[in-house]
Amino acid sequence: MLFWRWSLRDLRRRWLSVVAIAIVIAIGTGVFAGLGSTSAWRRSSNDASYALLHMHDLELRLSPGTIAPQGALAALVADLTGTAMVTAVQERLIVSRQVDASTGSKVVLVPGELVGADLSPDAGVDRLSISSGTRPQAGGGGGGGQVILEEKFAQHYHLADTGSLVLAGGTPVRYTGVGVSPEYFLITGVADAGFLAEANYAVVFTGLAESQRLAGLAGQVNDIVIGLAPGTDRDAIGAQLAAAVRSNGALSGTVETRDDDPAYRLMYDDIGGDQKLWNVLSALILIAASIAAFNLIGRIVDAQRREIGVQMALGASPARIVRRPVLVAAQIALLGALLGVVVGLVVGAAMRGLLVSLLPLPVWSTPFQVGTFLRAAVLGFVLPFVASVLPVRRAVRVEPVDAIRTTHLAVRGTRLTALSRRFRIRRHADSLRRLPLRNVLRAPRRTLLTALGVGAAVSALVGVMGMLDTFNTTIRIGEHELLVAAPDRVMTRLDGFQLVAGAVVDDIRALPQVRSADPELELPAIVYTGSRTTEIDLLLQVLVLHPSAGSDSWAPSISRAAPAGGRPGIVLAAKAAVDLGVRPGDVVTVQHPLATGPTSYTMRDTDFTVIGVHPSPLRSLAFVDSGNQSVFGLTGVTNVIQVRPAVGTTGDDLRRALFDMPGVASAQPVAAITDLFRKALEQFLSFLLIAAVAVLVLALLIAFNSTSISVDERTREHATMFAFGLPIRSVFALIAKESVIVGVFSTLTGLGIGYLLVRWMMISIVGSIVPDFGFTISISAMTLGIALFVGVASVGLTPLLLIRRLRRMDIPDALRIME
Amino acid sequence: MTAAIGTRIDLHGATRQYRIGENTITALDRVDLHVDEASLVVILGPSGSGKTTLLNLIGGLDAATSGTVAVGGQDVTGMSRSARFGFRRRCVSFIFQTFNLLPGLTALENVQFGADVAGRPDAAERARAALGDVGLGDRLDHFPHQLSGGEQQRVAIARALATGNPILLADEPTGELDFRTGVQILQLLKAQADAGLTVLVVTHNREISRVADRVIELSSGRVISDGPPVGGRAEIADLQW
Repeated sequence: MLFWRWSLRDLRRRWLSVVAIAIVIAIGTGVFAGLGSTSAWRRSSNDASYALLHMHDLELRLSPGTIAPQGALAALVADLTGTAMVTAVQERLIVSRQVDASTGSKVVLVPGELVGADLSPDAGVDRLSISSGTRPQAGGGGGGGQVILEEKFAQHYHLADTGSLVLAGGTPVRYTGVGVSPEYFLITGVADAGFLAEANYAVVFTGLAESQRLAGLAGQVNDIVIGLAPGTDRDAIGAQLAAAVRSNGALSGTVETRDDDPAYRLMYDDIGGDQKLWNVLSALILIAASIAAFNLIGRIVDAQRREIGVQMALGASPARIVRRPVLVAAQIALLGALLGVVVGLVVGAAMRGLLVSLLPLPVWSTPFQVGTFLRAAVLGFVLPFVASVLPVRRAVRVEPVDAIRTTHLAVRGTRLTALSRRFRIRRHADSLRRLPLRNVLRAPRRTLLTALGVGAAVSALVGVMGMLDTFNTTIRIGEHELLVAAPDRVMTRLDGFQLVAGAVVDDIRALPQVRSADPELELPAIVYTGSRTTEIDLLLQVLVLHPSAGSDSWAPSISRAAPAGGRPGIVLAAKAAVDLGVRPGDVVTVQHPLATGPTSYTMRDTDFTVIGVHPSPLRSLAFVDSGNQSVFGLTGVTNVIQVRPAVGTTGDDLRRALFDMPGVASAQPVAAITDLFRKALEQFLSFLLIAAVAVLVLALLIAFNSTSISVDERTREHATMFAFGLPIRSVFALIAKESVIVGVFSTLTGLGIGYLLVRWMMISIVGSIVPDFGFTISISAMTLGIALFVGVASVGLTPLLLIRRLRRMDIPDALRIME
Repeated sequence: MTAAIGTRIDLHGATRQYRIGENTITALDRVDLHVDEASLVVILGPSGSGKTTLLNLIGGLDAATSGTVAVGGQDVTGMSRSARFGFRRRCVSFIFQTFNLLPGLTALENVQFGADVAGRPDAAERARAALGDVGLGDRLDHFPHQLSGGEQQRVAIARALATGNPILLADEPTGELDFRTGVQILQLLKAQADAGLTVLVVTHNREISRVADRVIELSSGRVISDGPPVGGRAEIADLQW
């Protein structure tokens, strides 16, 4: 009981430090708990959302251009031997359609698809969830040009819950609400947009009959989705279905299980990857908090050195002596763990908000993660104990006579102190000017502990903010590369391959809104080197790599150019070159399509010389000069055209003109690609911002606490200075200078470690989550500024917060303090 | 500067009370005191008698609850806190029982610190000279922890001397030292009084008081005797404790 009361008094005396340490621990454990909860939330929300909307188990999608009479696909399923296990089937018609969702204030012309399906609320499979508005009339069957607009697309453009759209071909439709079906929790349907492409892809749901009417395919379907009873072997039924399709001479298509669905797969795969990043981030913050807690608690125990010596002198056993510091640590731990739960709930709420806005699932299940919070609370509780062990051990190993010695002999130097004496300091005329640096050097352990605490905070800060910077720089580089020339160009994708000298291209060129139209080829490919240990998917763009002087066409920036050496040349992304381990001049093998007839292709492996690298962060982008079109058997044909608007024509006018042209699949401004790029990375930015805020608070607290304790430890010296009449401002200046010296040292160390952390996290962690991006590691001036502010300015200015303490110092009392 | 300020110390009804919880402790109770210039005055008394409080009031480290404390004609009691800082820079110098040297500075720098704070333009030279005076001319570059207790206290005295201030206030300056070292310190203090400074030494050691020009004895915050040492002044060499 005595020790309990004693430790409580210790806490009361140092309540400010205690609260600050507890908050430091709370931030460490709270961020750990808050970030750690997201994977469980996402998994359970995914499960609940897919279950609610009865995500299909199997899907048969007919080959592009292939259709079947309504009922034919259902009949195919009905004939399967495992049909008893089929719980629901739904035939659908899915066709590509450009969508004009422009409002009075903005032009929204995007590619998309029209999905004709059962829109009734009790559909047996792939049910549509309406988040706002109403289902189309006619029992949800859709009719009279009524549709439902995909939710994320509507959100992205801030479209109203109901409104009008125009489908390519000039067909007006009215959307009565916005919603989502399970396949579209993530949008994956647009070329080179990657995932989260809702900005550039509009999905429009309507009833099957209405879709047939709108598409001009009365009574036709091209897709069927199937629900199976729980426990059914999906693969077995899928194989039966595939065999049935193959044996049906009139049909061709692919059968996929739900696990093959790219959105479904990503919804789950993403969780593990993201959690890895959150784990690293929370570990980083936890480590910084641990170091700080270790530092601060250690110094509290150090301050009890003499009292511990007295106890030893009185014959108290070490086991008895450690009770007090351990109780103090326990009380701080308890407070830290409790506050950690609060911080965890706050971080969790912020993460939940972000997740819900990024992924508008019909069900978000975010229960309190008892296990995660318990783990964090245990960590928060154990940390202070661990932190107190070393200083307590040191304290009880000192001879009592040394511990209770109060005067000159008490201020013995350590080996570090002796080492520090070797640094000769230039003698200023004024002894006061020497004092700050001398103080820093004379107590190296104290200096190192302070620097360690502040440095850890700066490292964590630079680590997290450096990731933000790296994302931003990567985005900027990507944008700059795409927009460096012809930024007003509209990337016009065609329906299949068209002759460069054909009608479609000629018609586009003839438009009065068009200034120039440069045909290109865009082909999927795979690149690898001899050992084939690394294969990278490519989006190969075949264009004029070196436009003639005066041309305003866009071409990639090529660095480290090398001659092709008699082979076709390829320009790879710098990241692809690194991953493949090749440099300009090396040879790579590209597996690419080779046209074998007007509509037939085969895959062919061709050796290419790497003739340079381009700076785009997109690893999949690769360029081949149009002079090599014959390698693909596609001489004189195109599937993508760089179109530039005529003078006086806006990009939107041009896109409107292209919208309804035959043979045009989509017309997107090149800036839309950079938007997608930004969008893809911004999801990380939002989450990182939460971590950055936590780290900033943590860093400020650590800086304040470390400096505050340092000032406390110097009380007697300051009292001596006051006794000699040194004004408070001069003493404050001394403290501030000393703090700044430590701050500079800490910040430089923190910046160095922080940079290494950013490198490691971006290359090893984020690089494994999003391997298709090549990140340019960077630390922005703002991050440097904030790090300097935290590490130098806040540390230097912390004495300002303590100035009241200096003013109110009881000088005679402080002079009697025994060290 | 010394001449302009003067060293006369006058206390009229000086009282210092502390509130500790509900209780009021009177550390110094209506003390009247006058100290002339250039003398070695010992303030004697047992622990808790108020002698350190008296020293703190004279040195402007503390303020009287009532009554007045004037040093060199300046009313220290009525001074603002910042004015007391200035007063301490110009008028008094402290020597503490536990030395209170700044551990980050060498012996020379510690002494120079005193001169710097007091605004002496020739601080470094004064510091060297002061250390020479206390017999530490060969220990200039040693840090406090490299010095013995007696050496540290001599550095503290040198620091006080280097300020050039006319009043030295020493609180138990020999309390931490052995007899032989204590004697050396007393000799140094006596020499300063002989050289024209006013030296107030607080001690509980009656033997030490024998070397003073005047002994003021306190008990329970009151002056119970004030005059030359009982039995007459002794030489330092005759002391035993």
